[in-house]
Amino acid sequence: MNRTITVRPGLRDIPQGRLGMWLLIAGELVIFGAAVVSYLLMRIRYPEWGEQAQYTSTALGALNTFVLLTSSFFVVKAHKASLAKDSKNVVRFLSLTLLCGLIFLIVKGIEYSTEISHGFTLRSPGLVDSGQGVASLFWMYYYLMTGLHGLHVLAGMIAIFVVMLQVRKGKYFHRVELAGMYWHMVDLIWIFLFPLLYILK
Amino acid sequence: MYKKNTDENGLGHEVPVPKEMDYHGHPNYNMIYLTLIVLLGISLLGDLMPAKSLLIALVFGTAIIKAALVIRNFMHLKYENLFLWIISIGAVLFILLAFFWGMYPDFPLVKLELAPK
Repeated sequence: MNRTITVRPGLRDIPQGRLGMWLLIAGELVIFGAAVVSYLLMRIRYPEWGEQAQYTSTALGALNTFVLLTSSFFVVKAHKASLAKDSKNVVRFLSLTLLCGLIFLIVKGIEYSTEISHGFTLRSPGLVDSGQGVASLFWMYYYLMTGLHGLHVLAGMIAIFVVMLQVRKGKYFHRVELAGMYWHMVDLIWIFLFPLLYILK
Repeated sequence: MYKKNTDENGLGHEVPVPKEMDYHGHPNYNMIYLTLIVLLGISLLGDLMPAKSLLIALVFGTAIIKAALVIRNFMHLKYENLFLWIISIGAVLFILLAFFWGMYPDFPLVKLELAPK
């Protein structure tokens, strides 16, 4: 009986774009990994950070997680369509991904405005004045990690938009996968930020 | 990238495949997406856990499974060369080990003092 087995590619078979993107992703994982691990160390050391986490909205965090997971699903659909050179479906799925990215940023903006209106800022002067200086550092980490992640969402949206324009002209279909890999990395980081900042109270 | 065709005698014949056509395989994306959403739902049940340790295990357990599903299937790492596994997983391990070995033994012993206003 004839059957076909897919063989794992050798090092020289990896396309340059994919290799470059994996190196970029590894670098990004080091940056976010450092932020997450230092947050964890502080969180273990200072239980008052858990009290501050009570003020983050689990519902909005869960909504944003759902939105990002859905956007990742749209990206792989776009990638699959790109292999068939189906530019219409690639543009359709990338547009849906961009919409998800926009929803994510809007929800994050709503969260930020609520938290800032309650006095939780980078410095949180209300907490500092009441002698809760260590607790106020939670918000500094919160804005650092979610803000940095938000900037990556924005960068991913720009990359996807540029690739989408190119695919519309029938060019550079292989870039859909590369932009998609970056987008999945953004999703991957949020998968860990969500429990750290929103669920563990 | 090659595909290996085996004949009726079990002999393998490698057939080159153009990279831009089919660099890797494709899992069932719909099923993986559904699994991710179910795992998200499970992680939200953390409030029902009777003990904090169970909550932590549930929340991080589901996060690690979700991350593994995304990185293996959506980012297609499971079809990739070992070198890419080493640089991606190695980056995460490096930062974890560097922090815990470099900082953790001293960290709990030092009390954080904030500068006065």
